[in-house]
Amino acid sequence: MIGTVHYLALSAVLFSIGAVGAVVRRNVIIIFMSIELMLNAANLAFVAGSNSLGSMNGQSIVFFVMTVAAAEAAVGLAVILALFRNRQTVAADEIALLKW
Amino acid sequence: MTQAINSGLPLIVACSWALLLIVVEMFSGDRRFVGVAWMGVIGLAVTAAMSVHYASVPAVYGNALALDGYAVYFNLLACTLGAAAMLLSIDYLGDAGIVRGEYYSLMFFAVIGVVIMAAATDLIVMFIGLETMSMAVYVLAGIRKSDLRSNEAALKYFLLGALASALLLYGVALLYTITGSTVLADVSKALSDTQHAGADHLVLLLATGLVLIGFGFKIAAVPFHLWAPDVYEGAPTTVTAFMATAVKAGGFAALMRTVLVALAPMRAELAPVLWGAAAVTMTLGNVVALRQTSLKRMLAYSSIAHTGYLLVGVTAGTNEAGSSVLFYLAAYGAMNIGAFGVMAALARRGRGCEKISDFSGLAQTHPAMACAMALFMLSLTGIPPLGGFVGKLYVFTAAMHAGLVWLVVIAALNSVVSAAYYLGVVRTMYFDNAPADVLPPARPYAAVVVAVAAVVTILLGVAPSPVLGSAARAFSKVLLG
Repeated sequence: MIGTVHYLALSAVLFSIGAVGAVVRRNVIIIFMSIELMLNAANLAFVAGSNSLGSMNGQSIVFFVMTVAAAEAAVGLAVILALFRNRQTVAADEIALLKW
Repeated sequence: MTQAINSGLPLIVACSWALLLIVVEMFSGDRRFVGVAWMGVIGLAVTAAMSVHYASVPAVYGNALALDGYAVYFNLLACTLGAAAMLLSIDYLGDAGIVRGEYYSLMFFAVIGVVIMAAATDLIVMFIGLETMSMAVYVLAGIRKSDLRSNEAALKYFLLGALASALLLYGVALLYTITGSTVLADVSKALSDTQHAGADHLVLLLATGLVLIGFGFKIAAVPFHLWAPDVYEGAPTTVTAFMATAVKAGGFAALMRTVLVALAPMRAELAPVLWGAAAVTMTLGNVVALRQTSLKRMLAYSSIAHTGYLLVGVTAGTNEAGSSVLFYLAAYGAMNIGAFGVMAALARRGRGCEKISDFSGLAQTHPAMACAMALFMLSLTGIPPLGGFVGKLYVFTAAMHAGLVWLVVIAALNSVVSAAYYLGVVRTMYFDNAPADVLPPARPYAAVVVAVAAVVTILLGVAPSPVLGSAARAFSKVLLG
């Protein structure tokens, strides 16, 4: 029987994969994909929580998060594109004009 | 029902106005900048006035939003800072080659995000406000599309900001699964009613930690401050002015409501973490600021240090400390917008006016600007009788009353260290010789903003009681019980 704990465990695994990816990968686009994975892990946790609590709030929150993720993708890809036009690279290591 | 509409009305009008700005910009001809900027300023004034008019304490929309005193205070603060940044931008943008009308609309949306963050009494609404603000500012940071540093600032801000949002959201999701709600008051009630032991307690700690990290990024608290110097340096100066003041105010508005209301039952676990964050943030900010040669970068580290001072107030968490933090944010906003305003007023294309050495001998060539800059630097140090001093005094006194003696000692020592680099700028302006190619005259709009900021900085120092009183009234209803 698959229960709430399993869904939450899956969401924790997805979140961890995303977090590790965001930290270790050096390609800006892949870092961005990892962050999106983290957002979707949160969505899964909301839906699982909503299901076990018997309240619809968690499921409606997911719609808001999806909207935010879409807006973030639009802004983020535009920022990456603007940089790529000037630099011809999406490698995080080469983008170091301002020292970290 | 009417009350629900009334409480939302300032936000509805503000959003419509921001959209209208884009349309007006699209259909206007050559003189678009001044007109659109003034429309933005008027819109912010209308938003502020409406929020005062429709202020009411009870939360609406299923306890998701409250236009209470706290929200109104931050609304006025954010609208004022936004309007100041827009006025600074009028001349700066044209000269910097940023011919984009959406600039003002984006800045308007960022202010709306701050307003939502302050008015939110639900974690998800707070998240939406945070994202509204952040996404507008990501674009603003990179609005100089052909400038590599601006591109890079936007990218770094975006990647780290998006990461922080994801961490925050996962924290909220975990809190939701534990407590069954995202409404601040309900979360607080659920946390204090039930004992969470074993695995549940661990998940709760994890959720709290993730939420704190998310907000820590936004207010640039150590160790999540790494983006701040780069982004502040790379973004156009007027945007940096906005980020250092209004965006930080928004971050603190949300952080205080979350920590002091929703997570109030976790006080015992949170206090040491906040204590450590405050101490490390102000110390690191001040020490690294000592060795900066770029004024923009120095002010970035100074803003990290000020985050530390403000966190002292959040750590104390009493009514007195909360209202002092509100006052401090106003004083900090005035003096910082002034300092960046001086930079924006003197900057010209190809001559960023961003290094401290660019200001050598400023007192001979631009006595008024040098005097204003010196005033802001003294206020940032915390020298009486200026706004920065009074703000620090109240925050530290409140922390003393809450028993944080050692933290106040560290903060006072930090203030002494900070004098070294703030007064270094004053020395460069007054005692170094001016270079052969003197800086151009200050721009009119920016000069007016700088003058107003200087007057406000002095007024907050010599006559703080009106603002302090409204800060105390604004905060009095925030804490539960």
